[in-house]
Amino acid sequence: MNPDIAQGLMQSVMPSSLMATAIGALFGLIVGMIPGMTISTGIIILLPMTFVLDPNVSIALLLGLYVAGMTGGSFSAILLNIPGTPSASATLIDGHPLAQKGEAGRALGISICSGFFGGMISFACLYFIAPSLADVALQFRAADLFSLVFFGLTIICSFASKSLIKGLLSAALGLAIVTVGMDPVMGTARFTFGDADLLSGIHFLTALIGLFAIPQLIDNLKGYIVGETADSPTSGFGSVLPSLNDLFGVRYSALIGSLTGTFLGILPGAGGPIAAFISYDYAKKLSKTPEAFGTGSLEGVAAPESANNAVAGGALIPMMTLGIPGDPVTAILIGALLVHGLAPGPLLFLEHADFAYGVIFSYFWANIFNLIIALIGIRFLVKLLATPRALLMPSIAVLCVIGSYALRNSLFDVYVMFFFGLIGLAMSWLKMPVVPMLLALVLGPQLEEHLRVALTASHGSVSVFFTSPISLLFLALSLVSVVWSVWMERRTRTSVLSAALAQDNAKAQELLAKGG
Amino acid sequence: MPMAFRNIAAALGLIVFSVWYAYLTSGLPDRSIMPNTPGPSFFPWVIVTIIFCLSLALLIKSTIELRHTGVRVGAIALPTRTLLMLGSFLVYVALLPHAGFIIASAGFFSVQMLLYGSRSPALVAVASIAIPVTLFLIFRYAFQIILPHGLFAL
Repeated sequence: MNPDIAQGLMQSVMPSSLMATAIGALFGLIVGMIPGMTISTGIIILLPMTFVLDPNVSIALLLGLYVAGMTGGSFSAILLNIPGTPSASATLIDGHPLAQKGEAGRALGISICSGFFGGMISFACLYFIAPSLADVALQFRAADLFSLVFFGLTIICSFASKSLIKGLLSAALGLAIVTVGMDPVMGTARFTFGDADLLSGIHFLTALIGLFAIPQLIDNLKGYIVGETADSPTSGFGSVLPSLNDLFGVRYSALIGSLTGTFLGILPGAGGPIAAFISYDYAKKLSKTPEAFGTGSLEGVAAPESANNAVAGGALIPMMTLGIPGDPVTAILIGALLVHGLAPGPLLFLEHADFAYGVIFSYFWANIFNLIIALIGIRFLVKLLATPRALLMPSIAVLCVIGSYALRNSLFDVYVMFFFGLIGLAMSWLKMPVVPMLLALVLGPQLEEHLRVALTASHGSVSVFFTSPISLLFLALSLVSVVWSVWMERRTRTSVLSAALAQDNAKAQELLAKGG
Repeated sequence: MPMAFRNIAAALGLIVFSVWYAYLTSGLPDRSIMPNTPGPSFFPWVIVTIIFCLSLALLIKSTIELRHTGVRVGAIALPTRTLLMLGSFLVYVALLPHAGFIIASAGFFSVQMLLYGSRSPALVAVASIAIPVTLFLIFRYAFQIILPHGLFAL
C-alpha cells in the first residue's frame, strides 16, 4: 500500500481522531435537527475549539459535524414538517406524510441509511478522483489557476442567486474587502488608514461568522412568537431499523441521489438543496410508481437524503484538490485548515499527502459514526427539539463572539464580526446572496496573486489567459455559466409574467361572467 | 418597501462606494516588479470598475422595472425587537474589554433571553450567569483560550 495512504489511514483511526469524529457526528445530528440552526452555525460554534487541537483531530471533528448535520436535518423534516437544514427541504415532501401515517420510524430509518449510502458513494469518488485531480492541477500555471478560480466564482454567482447582477455584486464586494491589508505580491499596505489592526486584513472566518450567524439570530427572533414553545414529537415512532425489503425497494433512488449529489457537490455553489430537489425529480421520473411521490413514498425520502449526504463528499473534492470551496461549510473547513498552516489545493497532496488521505479516511469514519449514532440515538436526540430558543439563541450569539475573538485574540475581530453582521442583514434586506461574497473572501487573495503573477510573467500581456488551452477552457466555462444564468433569469421572468397575465385574464373572465 | 426601490437605494449607495474606493485607490503607491506589470493598485482598479458597472446596471434595471410597475415608495420598518437585539449586541461588544467576558455576557444573555420570550426571572437569572461562566471555564481551562477578563483576572 502507498505509504501516504497507510499513514493517512493510521491518523484517521487514532483514538483522538475517532473520538473527535464521533463527537462531531453527535453534535452535527443535534445541530442539523434543530430548525433555525444550520450546519454552518454548528461549525462556527466548534471552530474556536479547533484552534488548539491537532489538525487531524480538528478536521475529523468538523467532518463528523458536516456529514451528520445533513442527516440531522431530515429528522425534523420528517417528524415536524420543518426542514432542520435547507438540504432537507425535499425530504419532507414524502417524509412527513409517512410520519402522519404512523410510519415515521420507516422514514427515519430509510433517511439515515440512504444518507450513509450517499456518503459512501461520494467517499469512493473522493478517494479515487481527488489524488488524480490534484496531479492534474499541479500542472496548472498562474494563468490557468486564475481562470479556474474565476470560473469557481462565476459559477457560484450563477447558482447562488436568482439575480446574476446581485450575485456578481456580492462577489465583487467580497473581492474589494479582500484588498484591505497587505498586497499579496509586494506587501504594500492598502486601505489600512494607518491602523495596525487592518494591516493583517479582514480574516474571512470573522466575516463569515458575522455574515451567517447574526442574520440567522435575527431571523429566529422574527420567527419567534412570545409564549410559543418548541413542538416536540409526542408519539413514538416504532423501529427505525429498515427492513431488507424497504432497503431493496429504494436502491435505485438512493443510487440516483448519490451520483447526482456527488456530481453537484463538485460544482461550487450547487449545494445540498439543489442536489436534493434534482435527485427527487429524477427519482420520481424514473420510478415505477411516480404517483406515490408526494403521498409518502420511501423512494421520495431516499433520493434527496442520499443526494444531500453525497454532496458533502463531492464538495471535498474541489476543496482539497483545487482549494476551491463548494459551499460555505467547505469554505469554513478551508479556514480551519489555514489556521493550522495547511493550505488546501494541489500542493496538499504533494507536501502533506498523509494528511490529505487522513482527511479522506476521516470522511469515511464520519459516515460510519453518523449511521451508528443516528440509528441508536435518535429516540433521545429528538427530545432536544423541545430546547427553548430563549436558551439556544443567546448561547449561539455568545459563542460567535468567542469564535471571532479566539481567532487572533483580538477584540478588533469581534467588532469586524458585528460589522459584517450588519452587512449580512443589509444583504438579506436586498435579497443579495451572501455565499458569493464569502467565497470571494476565501478565493480573492489567490485570484489577485495568480492574476498578477501571470501578467508579470507575460510582461503585462493579457494574451497569456487565452493562449493556454486550460485557461481558455475555464474562461469559456465562465462565460457559459454567465450566459446560462441570464437566460434562466429571463425564462423565469417570462413564466412569472405569463402566469400573472393568465391569472388576470381568468379574473377578468370571472368578473364578466358575473356581470353578464 | 418594494424591491425596486431597495435595489435603487443599493445601486446608488454602491456607486458612491465605488467612487470613494476609486479615490482611495488613486492614492496607492505606484510600484511594480517590472515595467508594464501590475502593481498594488491594479486589482483594486479592476474591482472598482466592476462594482461601478454592475451598480449602474442594477440602477438602470430597477428604474425600468419601477416605471413598468409604478409602485410608490413604502416606509422602511425595522422591528423593535431587531433594533433591541442589534443594540444590545453593540453594547455587549463595546463593554467586553472593560467589563470582561463574564459580566458583559451575563448582561447580554439576560437581555437576549427576554427578547426571545423567556418570562421566568429565575431561569433568566440562573442561565445568564451559569452559561457564560461555564463557557468561560471551558474555553479557559479546556481549550486554553483566554477570553477578555475585565474586572476578574481568571
